[in-house]
Amino acid sequence: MGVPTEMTALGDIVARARTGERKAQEELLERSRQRVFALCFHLLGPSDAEEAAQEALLKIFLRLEDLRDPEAFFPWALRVAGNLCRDSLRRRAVAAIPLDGVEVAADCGDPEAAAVASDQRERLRLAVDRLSPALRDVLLLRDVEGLSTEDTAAALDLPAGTVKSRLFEARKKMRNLLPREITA
Amino acid sequence: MTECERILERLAERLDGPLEEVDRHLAVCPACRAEWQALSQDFVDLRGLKAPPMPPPDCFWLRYELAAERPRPDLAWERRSRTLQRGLAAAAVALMLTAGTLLGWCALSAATRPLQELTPGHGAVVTEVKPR
Repeated sequence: MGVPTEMTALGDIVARARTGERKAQEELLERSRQRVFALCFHLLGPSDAEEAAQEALLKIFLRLEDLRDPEAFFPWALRVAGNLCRDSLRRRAVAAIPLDGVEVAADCGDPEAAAVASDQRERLRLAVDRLSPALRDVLLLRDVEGLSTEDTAAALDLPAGTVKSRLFEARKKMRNLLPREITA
Repeated sequence: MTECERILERLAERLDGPLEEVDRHLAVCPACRAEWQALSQDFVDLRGLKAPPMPPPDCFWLRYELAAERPRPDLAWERRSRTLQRGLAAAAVALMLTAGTLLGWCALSAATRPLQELTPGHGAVVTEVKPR
């Protein structure tokens, strides 16, 4: 018998949460809320993210018994949240959500370094905004939030192969969109 | 496509981990290496666009308990009901198409039928033309 992995531990928590054990439910909420919030944040924009994430989390916990494989909790939960975001987007008929209002961790220490970091973020943000929504969503979830290909595919309701190809395309476009000051 | 262009095209892939051919080229080409260093730094910095931490959800478990008390819609029944509705709609369309086709066929055959074939019961006058 192997060493318990993070996934088996997750499966155990999910199984206990399904029986209604509040401690397990709270732990599952703690583990999942940031991922769900990040997805809502990038798909819907900063102003609607919190409310949408709360709604999605409620739906996830109310439907927990529908989950067939407890170890596949995250892809399933992100699919539920992604569907909710897409429904919301359809209602609003909004195709592109700019990243305006993105707040990042405050820089501490050297103010000059903080200003440079802020300029760099602005430069990156502008480049990301210029990607098509299809490429931007994949890039934000994979390279910014660090979700796995499987989780990204579930969240965006795409095949894993499409996530990979869009990611490479997004990265190539980013390379062209980011002006360089290289002295080789 | 030059060797450098080919390698630059693969830098997006290289962000996921070492690639022998790309790494071999980067070791000997300062221009591509500079491009790679700038790109990989950009992708490290991209993490700065992460979503901020989610504030703790308001009264989440209270809302959960309230929502859990509400009877949950019977999804299986909803699915069956939707299938039944679709089936009925399809049957109605098929019936209308069949009826329309039959009516059209009747009307067409009545219009093209020779006069002598019509019986008096149809209100037509039967005239026999005898050869002289």
